[in-house]
Amino acid sequence: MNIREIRNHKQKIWIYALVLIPFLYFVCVMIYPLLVSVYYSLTKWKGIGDPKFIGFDNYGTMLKSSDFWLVTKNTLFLSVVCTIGQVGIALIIAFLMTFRRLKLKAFHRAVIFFPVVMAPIVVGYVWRFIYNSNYGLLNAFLRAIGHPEWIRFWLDDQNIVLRMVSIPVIWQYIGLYMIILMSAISAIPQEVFECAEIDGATGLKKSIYITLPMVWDSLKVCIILCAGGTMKIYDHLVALTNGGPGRATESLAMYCYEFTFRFGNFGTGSAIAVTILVLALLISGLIQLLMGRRKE
Amino acid sequence: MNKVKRYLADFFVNVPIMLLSLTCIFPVVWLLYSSVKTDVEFNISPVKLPTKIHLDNFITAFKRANFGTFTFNSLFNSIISLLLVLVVSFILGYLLSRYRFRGRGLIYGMLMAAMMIPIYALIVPIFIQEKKMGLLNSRFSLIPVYVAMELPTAVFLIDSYVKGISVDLEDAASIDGASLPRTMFTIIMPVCRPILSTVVILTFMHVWNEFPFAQVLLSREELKTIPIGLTYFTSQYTTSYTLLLAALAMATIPVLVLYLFFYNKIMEGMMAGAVKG
Amino acid sequence: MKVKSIKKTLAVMLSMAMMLSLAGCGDSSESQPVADEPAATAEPAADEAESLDEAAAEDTEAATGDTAGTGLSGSFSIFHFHEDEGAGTSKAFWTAANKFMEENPDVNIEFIFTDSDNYQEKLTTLMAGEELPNVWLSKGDMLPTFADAGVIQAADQYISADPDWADAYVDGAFADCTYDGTQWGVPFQMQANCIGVYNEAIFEECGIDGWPETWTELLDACEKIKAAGYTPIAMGNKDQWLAESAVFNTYAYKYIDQAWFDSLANNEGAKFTDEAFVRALAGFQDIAQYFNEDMNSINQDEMYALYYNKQAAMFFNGAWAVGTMISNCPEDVLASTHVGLMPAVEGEKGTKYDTAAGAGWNYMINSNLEGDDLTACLAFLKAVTTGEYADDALQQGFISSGKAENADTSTLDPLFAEYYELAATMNNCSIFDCVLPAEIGSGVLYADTQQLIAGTMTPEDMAAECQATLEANY
Repeated sequence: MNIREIRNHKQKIWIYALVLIPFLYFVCVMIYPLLVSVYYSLTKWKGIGDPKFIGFDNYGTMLKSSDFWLVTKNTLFLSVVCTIGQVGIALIIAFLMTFRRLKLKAFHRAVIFFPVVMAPIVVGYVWRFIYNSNYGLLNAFLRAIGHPEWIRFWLDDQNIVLRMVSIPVIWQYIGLYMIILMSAISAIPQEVFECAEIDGATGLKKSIYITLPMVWDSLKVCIILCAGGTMKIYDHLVALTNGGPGRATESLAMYCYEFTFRFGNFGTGSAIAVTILVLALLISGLIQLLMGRRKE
Repeated sequence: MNKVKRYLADFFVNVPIMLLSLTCIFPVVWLLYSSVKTDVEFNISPVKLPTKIHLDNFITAFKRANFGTFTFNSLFNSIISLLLVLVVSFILGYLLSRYRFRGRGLIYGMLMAAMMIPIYALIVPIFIQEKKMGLLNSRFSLIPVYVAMELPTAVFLIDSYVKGISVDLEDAASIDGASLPRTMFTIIMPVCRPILSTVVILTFMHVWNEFPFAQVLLSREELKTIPIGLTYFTSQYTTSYTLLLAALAMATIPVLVLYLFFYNKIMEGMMAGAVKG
Repeated sequence: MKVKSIKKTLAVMLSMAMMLSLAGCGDSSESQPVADEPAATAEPAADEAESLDEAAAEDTEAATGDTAGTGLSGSFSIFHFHEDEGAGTSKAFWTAANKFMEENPDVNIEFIFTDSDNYQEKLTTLMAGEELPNVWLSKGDMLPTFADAGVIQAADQYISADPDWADAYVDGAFADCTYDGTQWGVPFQMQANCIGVYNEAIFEECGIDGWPETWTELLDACEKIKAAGYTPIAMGNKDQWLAESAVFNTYAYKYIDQAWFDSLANNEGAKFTDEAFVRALAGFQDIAQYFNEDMNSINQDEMYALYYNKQAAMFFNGAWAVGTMISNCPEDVLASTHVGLMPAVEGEKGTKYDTAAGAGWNYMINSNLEGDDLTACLAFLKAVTTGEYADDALQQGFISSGKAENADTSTLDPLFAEYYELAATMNNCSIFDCVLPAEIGSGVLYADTQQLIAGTMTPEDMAAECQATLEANY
């Protein structure tokens, strides 16, 4: 599907030249430091002197720490919840944008993206006073609807805090995936929709049978971007809870930062980073499998 | 009955989205009104409306965060990185999507890996690399890193978009004898406008806001960028929040403008073409 | 998007991309030893600058021809977190620094600023990249790393050589920068990490006369305040350091003493699991019932807000809170605001005077600095830590580690004057997170204290976990 043959030698040279030049550049700037980081993960290094090679010791200590398993669990939870929430809601909105019933499309399209450009500190502040137990909007709302018994210390209760912090993260990035999916929808030729409408397909049916298959590849990319991106989540958690209480909302990336820069333990810090990388690659592989391999 | 059903459908389509949109405006509103408060007012209650509007917060913040110089630097980095990312990711994305050649899987894998590794693992290796190359503290310290950092996402987006475009267009062109680069830039690029605009927005936003690398790779005041200026309101024991928020409001404007006047306009045209109603 | 214009610039962009990519590859694999050798007079950052554009920015070097008064000359770089228009010690730093530069036009100083929140990250990177500046700031927890690697030179050899300088510091100023019997750094501040701040009006309203002298009195007062509908003690521990470093640390000294802590830090017998320390943890968990219930989700500023809004009767925080109160507290609250020492616990050996306090951060001098540059640098460090600097800092509402002999204490803000008097009576003890390795000091201790006051961790478990981490990091 939509693949072209390499016709002749000249074309082949063109393709290799155009691909390899930027790719080599990329390898030098990104992949080489990445490999250096992988090397650090096999050493004991406090940042001064030469790194001392110690094999997989860092991974061993890391895997034995209960904190590591806790933050891994947190991160995986956020990754799953945020992917479903962000891409799911974004997809629904992108579909609704094709509906006649939806009014004020330009307005929605404009403002749903606003949170994406907001600095994490602003989002952190806004959501922290939504959750605030004192003057928080959420508790005020619960009181107003007559359910004061539902009032909780949203960000202090270890049992619910992780779910609570996932909501702002989901909310913030809906706009991002919305614009990606809308770009994909806009590529669908108008005739396709017209034909469908003549055949009597409307609303939901149109979305599921026509739009969804046509944006499937973009959807897949969104899910991979989102799942992989959330594995690296850092700023939001710092702004909302700083990982607390205890380590109840700490992510792997925060754990990695803590070791690398607060403790100056580059070996373990890199080992955590490599773990994030491996997990993220596994997840994206899984998504590829579930959503169908590239048709080659 | 049918009428009731239609009203209900209207309700369920419009109201949830409206609620979402309203919550999305709130932070902007909060940011704007908080940025004109005094520190005392803000500290007493971060939610209350200001009693008096202090527009001079913006002037103070602008001076204190060195915004004159830093805006120039940020624009310089963002625009050059953006152009490079746009061109390179289009070429890579298109070729990876359309042609099957040896090493393609490897390229995908590496792009994916670079996208998945947390930035904090790369800071020290990249710092050392730039030091060896004598690139630290220069006008071009950040651009190479930014370009490489933004490439994977852009390539994947373009790649998936091109998959959805039929090959007929290019086949027709090559029958006319057009070379590969020509086909690519004159025939496919215009079709890719929506996804390229998305790439523009995302790349600009990321580069404009990028902090960790700017923080460690630059030490000279005349080269620093806006996100670093935003830290200039923090002393050892106190933060001047209202000035910080005023500065944040100013820092957010370019991205919002780019989105509203550039992307939203384009999408309006595209969506109107693709989807009636 | 203007596709046409992009098309036109394509060729240019493409060639740029290629150039960049080639440059990137060529150099990264060759690894030119540009600044590997920490040369004596090297100014690392400036070195890089010259190799590229805008080297002319280093203008001060040539601009000042004549030698004025002092005869000092030389150049050095200093990496600091003193924000230009900040308050307290930052202000005093810049006043002193600007005066020094005026008096010594031949000394060329390169200031590298990073805010205190991100300071550690950049410092660690500079260290790993062997690009450390000539002077930087460090807490005690990184001191062993620097000292063992030989990248810093001891400051005490120079300070003791100048009796005038050596005499200018208050007692105990060097406690935080002492390692292996050597005083490595130059301190610039002297903070009590814990002080009680209370609203007298609310105390009176609840029938409490004055600041409690003993822990029982404090608990009693808390009970009365709680009954009157106020939050007895405000706590904003979202950022994790406040409960541990600014409150618990001092509370622990009511149970244990400096000798115990030294023994703990140096692995000489004392353990976190010692009974006294566990009792301290249990006592602290007990007082947490008088904190506001959202103690772990609001930050320092929101904690102040509770106090400003008369919702909370008191709070404990580092002495920097005094300055914040003076500048941000509503007038009526400020008028009835007073400070007090954390009360002693009956039956334990600590007194109310035992307080975690110290310099925290110190200036470190790179071992590659020598000759004229070193002389100039030392003169500068003396100027920005002692004498007029100390007097000035005091006027700004901060106690520096230098003796403020000529300061006019009559012009001090009344609240600060109150604290200043108290500070003189304090028995300064080491701050845990400034001395212990970061894995414990700002790792386990922070996270576990948060759980301790939330009631999700027992004192015994916390002590065991701290001890285990400490043992792994000796």
